[in-house]
Amino acid sequence: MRSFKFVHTADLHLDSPFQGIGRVEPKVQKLLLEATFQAFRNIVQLCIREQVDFLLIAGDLYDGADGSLKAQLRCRDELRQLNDHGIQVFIAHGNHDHCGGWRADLDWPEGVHFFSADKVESFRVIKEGEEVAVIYGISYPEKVVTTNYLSRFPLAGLDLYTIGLLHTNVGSSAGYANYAPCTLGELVATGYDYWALGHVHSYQVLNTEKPLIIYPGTPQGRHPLEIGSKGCCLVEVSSTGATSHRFFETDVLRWVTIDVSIVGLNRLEELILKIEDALNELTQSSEDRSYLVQIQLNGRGRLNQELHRPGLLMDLLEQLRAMHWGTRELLWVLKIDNCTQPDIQIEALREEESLLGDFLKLINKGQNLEQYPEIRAVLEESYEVLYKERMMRKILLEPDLLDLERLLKQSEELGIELFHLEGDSRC
Amino acid sequence: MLIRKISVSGFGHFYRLEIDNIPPGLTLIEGANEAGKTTLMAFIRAIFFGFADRRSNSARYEPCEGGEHGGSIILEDVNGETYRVERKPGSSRGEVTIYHADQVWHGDGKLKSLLKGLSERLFQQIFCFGLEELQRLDTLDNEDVSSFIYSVGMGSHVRSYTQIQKELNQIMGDLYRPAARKPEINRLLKELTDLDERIYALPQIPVEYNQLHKELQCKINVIIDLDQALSSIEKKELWLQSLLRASEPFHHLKMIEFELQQLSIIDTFPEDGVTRLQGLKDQLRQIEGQLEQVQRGLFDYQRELAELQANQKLLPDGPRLQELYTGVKLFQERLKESEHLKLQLMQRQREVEQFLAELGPRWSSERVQNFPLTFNRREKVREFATSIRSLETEKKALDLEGRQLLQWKEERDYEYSEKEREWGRKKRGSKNQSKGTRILIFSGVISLSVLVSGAWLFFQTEWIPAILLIIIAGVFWGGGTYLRRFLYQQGEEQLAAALAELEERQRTLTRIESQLKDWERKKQIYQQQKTNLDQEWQLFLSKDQLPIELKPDDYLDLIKLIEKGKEILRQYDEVRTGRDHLIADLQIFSENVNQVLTSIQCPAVKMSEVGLVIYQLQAEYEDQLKQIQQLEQLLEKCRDMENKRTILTHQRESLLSEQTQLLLAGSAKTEEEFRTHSQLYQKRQLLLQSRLEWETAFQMAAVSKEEKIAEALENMGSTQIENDLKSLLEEKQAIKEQLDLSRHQQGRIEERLDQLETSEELSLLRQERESLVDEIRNRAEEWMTASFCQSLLELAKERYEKERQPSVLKEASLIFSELTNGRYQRVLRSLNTNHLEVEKCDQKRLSTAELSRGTAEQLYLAMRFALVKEFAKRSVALPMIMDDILVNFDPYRTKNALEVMAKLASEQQIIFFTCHTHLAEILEQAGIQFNHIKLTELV
Repeated sequence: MRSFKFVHTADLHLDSPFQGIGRVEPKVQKLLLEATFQAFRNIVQLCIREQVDFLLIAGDLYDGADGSLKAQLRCRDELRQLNDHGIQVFIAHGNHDHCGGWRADLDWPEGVHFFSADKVESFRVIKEGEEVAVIYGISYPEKVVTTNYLSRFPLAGLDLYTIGLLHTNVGSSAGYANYAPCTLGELVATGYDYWALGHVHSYQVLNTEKPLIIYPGTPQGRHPLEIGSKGCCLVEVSSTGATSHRFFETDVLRWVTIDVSIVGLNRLEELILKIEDALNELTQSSEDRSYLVQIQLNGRGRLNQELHRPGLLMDLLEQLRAMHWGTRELLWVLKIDNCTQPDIQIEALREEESLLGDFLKLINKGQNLEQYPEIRAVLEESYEVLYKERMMRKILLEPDLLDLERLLKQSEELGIELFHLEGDSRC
Repeated sequence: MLIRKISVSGFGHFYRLEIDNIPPGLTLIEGANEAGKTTLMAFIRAIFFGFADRRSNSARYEPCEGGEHGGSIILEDVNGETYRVERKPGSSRGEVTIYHADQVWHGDGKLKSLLKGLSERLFQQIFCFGLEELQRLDTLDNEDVSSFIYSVGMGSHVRSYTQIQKELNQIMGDLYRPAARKPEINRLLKELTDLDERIYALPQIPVEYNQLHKELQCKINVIIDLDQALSSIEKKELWLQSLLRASEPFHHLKMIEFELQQLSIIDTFPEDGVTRLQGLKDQLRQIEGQLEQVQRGLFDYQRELAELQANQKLLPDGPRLQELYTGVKLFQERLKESEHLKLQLMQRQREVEQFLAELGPRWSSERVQNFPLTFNRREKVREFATSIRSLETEKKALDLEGRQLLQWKEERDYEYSEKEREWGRKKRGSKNQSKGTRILIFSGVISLSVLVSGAWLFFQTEWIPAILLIIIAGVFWGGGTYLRRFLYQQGEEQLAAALAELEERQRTLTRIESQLKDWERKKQIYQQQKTNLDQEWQLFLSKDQLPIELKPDDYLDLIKLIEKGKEILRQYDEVRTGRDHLIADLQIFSENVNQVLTSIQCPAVKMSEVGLVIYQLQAEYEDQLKQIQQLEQLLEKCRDMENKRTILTHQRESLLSEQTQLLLAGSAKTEEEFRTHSQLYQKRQLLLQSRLEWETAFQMAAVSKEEKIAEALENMGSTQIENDLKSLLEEKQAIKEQLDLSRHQQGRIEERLDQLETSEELSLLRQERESLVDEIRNRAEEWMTASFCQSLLELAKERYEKERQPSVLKEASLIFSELTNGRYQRVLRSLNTNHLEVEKCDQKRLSTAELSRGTAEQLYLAMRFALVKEFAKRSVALPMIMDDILVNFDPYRTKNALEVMAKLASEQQIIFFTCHTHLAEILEQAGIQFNHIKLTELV
C-alpha cells in the first residue's frame, strides 16, 4: 500500500456573520467579512504546501440559509486551486449546507466530489494508479436530521484503508444540535481506519486508536465561546496503514478572554495598566494574528463601585480600542465585562434581618432554581413582558436555567450596588 | 445615641441657651405656654435636618434676640464617642459641621450616617413629634413610614426600598418599555426590523442567480443561431458585392480590347522622346549664344592688351629702391642732426680755446690731456702742504719763544744793569754807566742778529716772519737802549739794598741765556728741515715742468682746473666723433642713391637733394608696378576666354550627336516623323495601362473567382445585382438588430451576475444584523437583570412584610395593651386594606376610625414606640422627643403612658416637653427616675 496524506476540516461556515461581536468599526467589519474565507484559504494553502492527496470536508462548508452566493463562489474558487494542484476534495454536507438548501448553479472542478444525501456513497482514492483508500460518506438532505446515519454505513472491508465522513453529534454533546446522533462505540464498531467528523466546533480527538476519530473543529471561531486556536487536521497514513495526525492553526481572528482581577487595586489607572499588560502579553507572540478580546474584570475590591460609574467602561473600551498593539493588523477589544464584586462581605449582608438580607437570601436560593420553582416562576413572569415583543422572540432564546442563574448573579450585584450607591461621606 | 447637650446660639426668641448634661433615660422639660418648648423641638429638628426652607410655610425661627442663627447639639454614640453637630447659616437650610475628636465633616453625609439614613419626615413622625403629628392617622400610612417599617432603613443600609425600586424602574424604562420608541431596546428592535426589511428587500440572490444563469444560457443559444444566420447572409452579400465591384472593370476591359485591336503597333519609343528632343534643341541654342559672346570678349581683351605699353626701367632696382625709400626719413633726420652737430662742435672748440688761454701759453690740449691726475699724486701734494704747514707752525712757536726769551733776557739784563747801576751808583757810581752801556751793546747785538734773520727771511719771500723779525730787532734795540737808561737811573738807587737781588738776577740771566742757546739749536734744526722740504718740493714740481714757486695749495687748485679742462676736451672729442660718423653714414646713403640714378641713366645728385629724388623714384616705381599687374590680368582673361570657347565647342558637338541618336531611337529620320511616332506610342501605352488597371480591379473584385464572376456577369446586369444586394442588406440589418438586442441582454445578465457574485452587501448586512442582535441581547440581559432584581426585591419586601412586620405589630400590641390596661389585646394590619386594626380583649376587631380620639392616639403612640424599638433593634437607639402628647389621655392612661415611656427610656433617651406640672408629680409618685428641667429657670 502506498502512503498518503489528507487534510480534514469541517464547519467552515464561509461568509457566516460573527456573533456576539456588537457594533464594530468598518476596518473590523472588513476583517470579519474576510476571516472565514481567509481561514479556508489557509487550509487550501496547507493542502498545497503539504502536497496532500485529498481534502475532506465534514459538513457546514457554508450556511445555505444565508443564501450567500459569495460563499459558494469563493469556495469554488479555492477548490479550483486544489484541483489545479491535483488535490481531490470530498465533501459531505451538514445541517447548515444541507442538500435541501439553496445552491448556486456552479461548475465545480472535476476533482470535487459531493456525497449524496440519499444514501451512503463511496469514492475510491487512487494514487499513482493504485487504490489507496475508500471514503464513505453521506450528506444531510435537510437541516434537521435526527436519525442515526451510522447504521447506513457499511462495515469496513479488509483490503483498503477506510475513511468515514459524517456530520454528527457523537454522544449527543450539549451545546450542539443533536443531529445524526451516534455513539463513540458505534463509530469504533464500524472497523474503519479514520472517522472524519464535523458539527462540533472545537478540536476533539474522540478515539486515538483505530479508528482515529476526530472533530477538527471550525477553522475560524465566530462566536464568543469559540475561544482559543482553531484549525484543521493533517492526517498521514503510512504504507503500513499507521495513521498519525497533526493539528494546524488556521484562524485569522482569534477569540480570547482575558481575566483581570481588581483585588488589591485602589485606582483606576492601576487597573488600566494591568489590562494593558495583559494585552501586551497577548501580543507578545510572533504570530501575525488578529485578536478579538473580551476582558473580564473580576474579584472583590474597592474599584467595584467606581467601575459602576456610568460610561466609565465604555470610555475605557474606547481608549483600549484606540491603542496600537504590536504589529497586529487588529486587536479589537470586544467588551469589558464587569464581574467584579464590591468590597463588602455579601455573606454577612445575606445574614442580616433586613430587606437586603432577604433579597440576597432569595438570590441565593435562585442559584439553585430547580429546587425553588416559585422563584423561577417569579423570574419567568418578570421577563415575560420582553418576550411579548415579536422581534425579541425571534432573536432571543428563552433563558435556560444556566442563563437565569447567571442573570440572577448579575441581579445580585446590581442590587448590592443600588443598596450601597450612597456610602458615607468621607472627610 | 444620646443628646448630651443642646446649645442654642440664636433660634426664635432663644439667645445663647444651653442645656447641658442631659442624661440618658427620661428627661422632662417643663415650661409654661410660650416658654419655647415647640421652639426647642424645632431647634433639634433644625440641627439634624436643616432650617425650614424659605419657600416652605414652616417657620425658620430666625433669631429675634440676637446671636447667630442655629447652634449645636452634642451627641454620644453607644461607644461613648461624642459628636458635636453644629449648624450655621449658609444655604437656605444652613451649613452643618460635625466635630469628633480631631475629625471634622462638612455637609449632611456624616450626619445622615449617624442618624442611619433617617429621613426628616420619618424623624418628625416617629422620633420627634407633637400632638398634631400623633393625631394624624395618615402620618403613619404614608410611603416613607411604611417603607421605613417594611424595609431598609432598618438594615445597616441607607437607601430606601422605594428609592431603589424607582431607580430600577428608571433603568428598565431606559432599556425597554412595551410599545415605546425611545428606550434603547425598542430603538434597537426598530433598527433590527428596518435592517431585516433591507435584507429582505435585497433581491433574492440565490433564486435570481440560478434563474439568471438559465436565462444567460438561453440567450447564448439564441445568439449562436443568429450569428450563424448572419454569417450566411454576409457570405451572400460578399458574393453580390464582388459582382457589383467586378461589373465595371469587366465592361471596361472589353472596350479596351477593342480599341487596341484598332491601333498600329509601336512597341518601343524613347522615354519622354519629344521633351528630350526639345530640350536638346534648347541647349544647342543656348551654347551657340554663349560661344558668340566669348568670341567677342576675347577680341576686346586682345585689343586692350596691344594698347598697354609698360615702362619697366625701375623694376630691377625695385628692392634697393624700396630699402632706400624705407631709410629716407632717417636720412633726412640725420642730415638735420649733422648740421646741428656742426654748430655744437664750433661751440666746444671755442670752449677749449678759452680754457687753454686760461691755463697759459705753455699749455696745449695734449699737455692737459696727458697731465696725470692720479690719487697718489694728489696725496703727495697734500702731504707736502701738511709738512710745510707744520714747519711754519713750528717756526712761529720758535719765533715766539725766541722773542719771549730775548725779551726776558733784555728785561733781566736791564733789571740787572739797573740794579747793578743802582748799586754801583750807590757804591761806585761809574759802574752803573758801563753796565748800561754793556746792556745797550748787548741789545744792539741781538737786534742786529734778529734783523739779519729777518732780512734772510725777506729774501726767502717769508714776508711776515721777516717783518716780524725786523720789528723784533727794532724792539730789542729800543729795549736795550731803554734798559740801559733805566738801569742807569734805577740801579744806583737800589744798589745797596739789592746787591743780593743783583746776584739773584745774575743767576736768572744766566739761566735765560742757557735757554736762548737751546732755542738757537732748535732754530738751526728747523732751518735745516725747511731747506730739505723746499728742495724736495721743487724737485716734485720740476718733474711736471711746473714753476718751482708754485705752492702745494696752488698745485691742488691747478689739478681742479685741469680736471675741468679734461672734461671740456672730452666733450669736444665726443661731438666731433659723433659728427664724423653721421657724415660717413649720410655719404654712404647718398652714394647708394646715386648708384640707382646711374643705373637708370640719370645724373647724380647732391646730398641735400637725395630725399626729394628718392620720393620721385618711389612714385615712379609704383606706377610701373601697377601697369605690370594690369597687363597680367588682361592676359589671364584672354586665357579664360579661350578655354571657355573650347568647352562650348565640345558641348555643341556632343549635343548634336545626342540629337541624331534620339531621332534614330524613335525610328524617325525627321523631327516631324519623330513626333508622330511619339503620339501613337503614347496612346497605345495608355490603353495598355488602363487595361492593366481594370484587370487588377477586376481581380480584386473577383477574389480569385474570376471565371465564375465573368460567367455570372455575362448573364447579370448591375441593376439586378444591386436589387438583390439591397434586399439582402435589409435582411441582414434585421438579424443584426436582433443580435444586438440579445447581446445587450446577455451583457445585462452577465453584469447582474457579476454584481451578485461580487456583492458584499448581503454579507455586510448580515454581519450588521448579527452585531445588532448581539447588542439587543446584551441590553435585554441588562433589562432582565434589572427586572429580576426588581421582582426579587418585591418578593423580599412581601416576605419582609409578612415575616418581619408582626414583630413591630407584636410590640405595638403589647404597648397598646399596657396603655389601655389590657382593654385592647392586639394591633394588626389588614393585608387586604393595608390599614391598621385593633383587637379588643373580646376578640372584636375595630378599625382606627372606630376608636375614640384618646384611644386612637394611644394606638399611634404604641405603634411609634414599637417602631422606635424595632429601629433600635435593627440599627441604633435614637433619642425620642415628644411635645405634650398626653393631653387627651385620662389620668390612668397618662400614668400608664409615662410608665411605658420610662420603661422605654431605659433603652433609649426620651425628652418629653410639657406645660403640665402634674406630670412630674405623677412620675415622682410612681417612683420613676427622671431628669427634671424647668425651661423658665434656664431662660
